[in-house]
Amino acid sequence: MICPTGPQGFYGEQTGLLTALVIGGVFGFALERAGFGNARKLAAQFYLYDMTVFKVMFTAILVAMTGLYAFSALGWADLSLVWINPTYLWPQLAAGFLLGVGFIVSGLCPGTAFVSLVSGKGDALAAIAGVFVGVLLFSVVLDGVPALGSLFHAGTGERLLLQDLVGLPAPWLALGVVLMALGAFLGAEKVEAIFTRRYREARAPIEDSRVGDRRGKFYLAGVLALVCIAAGLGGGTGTGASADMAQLAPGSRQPLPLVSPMELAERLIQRDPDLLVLDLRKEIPEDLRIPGAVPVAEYHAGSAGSTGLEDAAENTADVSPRTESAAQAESPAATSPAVAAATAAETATSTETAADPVPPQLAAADMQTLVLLITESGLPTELPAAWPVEPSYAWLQGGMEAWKAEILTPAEPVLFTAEELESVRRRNQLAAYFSGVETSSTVAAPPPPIPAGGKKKKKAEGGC
Amino acid sequence: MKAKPYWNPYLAGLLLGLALLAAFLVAGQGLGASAFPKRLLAGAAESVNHEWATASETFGKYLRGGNPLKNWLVVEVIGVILGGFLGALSAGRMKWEIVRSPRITAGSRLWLAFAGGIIMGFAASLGRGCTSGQALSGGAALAAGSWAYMMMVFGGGYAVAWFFRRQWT
Repeated sequence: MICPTGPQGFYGEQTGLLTALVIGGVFGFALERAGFGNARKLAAQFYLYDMTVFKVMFTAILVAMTGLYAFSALGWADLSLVWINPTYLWPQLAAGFLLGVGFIVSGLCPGTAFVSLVSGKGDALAAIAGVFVGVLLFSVVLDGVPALGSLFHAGTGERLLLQDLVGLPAPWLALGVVLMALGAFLGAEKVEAIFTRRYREARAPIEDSRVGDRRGKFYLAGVLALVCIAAGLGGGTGTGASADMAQLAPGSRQPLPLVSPMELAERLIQRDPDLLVLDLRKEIPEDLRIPGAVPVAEYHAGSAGSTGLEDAAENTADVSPRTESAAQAESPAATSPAVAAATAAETATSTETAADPVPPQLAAADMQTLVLLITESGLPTELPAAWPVEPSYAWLQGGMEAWKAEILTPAEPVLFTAEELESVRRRNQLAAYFSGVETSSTVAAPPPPIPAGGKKKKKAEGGC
Repeated sequence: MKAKPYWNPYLAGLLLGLALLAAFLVAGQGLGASAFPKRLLAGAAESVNHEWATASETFGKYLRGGNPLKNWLVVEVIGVILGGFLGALSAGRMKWEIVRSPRITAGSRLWLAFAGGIIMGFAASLGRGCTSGQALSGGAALAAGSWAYMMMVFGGGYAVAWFFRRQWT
């Protein structure tokens, strides 16, 4: 799956932020052209003589919805990696109502207020100042008043989608939304005409800035509808989004969390006892492996495979780096202190459970354990259903390619700021440690982790 | 220079929808606006009082991941500001004014805008998003809670619109 590109680590942070600037720019431009820099035009939605807000918003929802679900159905986008607003029903209902009230009082919403401000509107400045005060107010009240906290946390926070709620496949639900919106567009045109006439007759000082020939709007709406329906039907041939999401961590619908190579490196050095690294790769080159990772290709691929004694011994290389053992000499990754080899007892269990679809280390994992999945570069595919659901699963962002690029390759400073130099130094320590290439005489000892407080203090000083 | 007319709403909606789709496919998340004030305040709070900011439930979570401003949504809002500016400039709509009905004074309008802003800031925090992050982005992704939020935005607006009619009509 190609999309979403960012969360799969196809490019660095800088490029990701550049896409934010471009996409945000288009968003802001579209808002301005729609007339959303003008509070009166926005507020007119609630006086029914100009329903541009509704029309723009629902057209955008239709386009993005059909696009997103069509990409998912065609297998081009992995919906489980797309962040979708979790459901906290009660705070969402309360906040929606409040935001509607704030919208009519100020005439703007947070996003449009920024567009309005840069079109030179003084009222937008007042509204934005208010938003800042409101956010601060909420933060203070939340920390002080437990009742607000219980409202804020009321709800499950699960990823609940309309299609799951209604029990329809995603493409059909999307089609339903399209048809409903088209009906609403027709209704909005009628309502606008009626109320414009009414306000004119009453000589109310309304500012009717609706555009051009009304029939032109219908043509555009018709074209959009055809596009949307076609995409929806095309999506109907696919598997739909719900199936997509069930692929990942067994029993979980939340997207698979990511762990960056840097984070993994630090956790390995700190000998995190709750970390279990499973290497899903079919072939694991000796010079490109995570110390302590358990090769699980045969479990993962589902093939019974030849789980001979040798393999079994390797499988049981305990990931918990605390149990360092003397048998390191035979382990290919023996150079790393993080790897411990199998004890005889473990070998025996492993041989017995060779037919078992669950690797023994994974079977022993509990709720505290973070199971980190290692791939070549792409996302892990379907996990065996027999794997336990208790541990939390995560994916090494970018797989071994990212590990190689970020951890095994020494970094070089570009900007030479103090902060950057510090991070480069740390990266090079990690590179030396994990690649085994000696850059200094003290490579055998694990580099001391950065003290937790040190970095933060520095930021606080330079923040203002 | 006379300002160019606004675009047809369906055309503007199409462009907006494409931007939102791009956000989903590229960044793996929708668009947002209120993340900007939230994260800016979190950063400011940290530099004023580090202890308090990190202990705060709302600001603390933005500070745990390093610099709260080095974030996709923050840069996206900077893009919104630039895009809106270019849009207003190229349409000849750049004009210093206070938008209001002739039936209220500029001063009242400013106070109302400020008060409405406070309500919205509070609501955007309580609801984990505003019109952009919840109603638009969550709506397009078919998140059930976001649709509830969206219905309530319209509900809240229509419920009190009558009381504020002098400001607009």
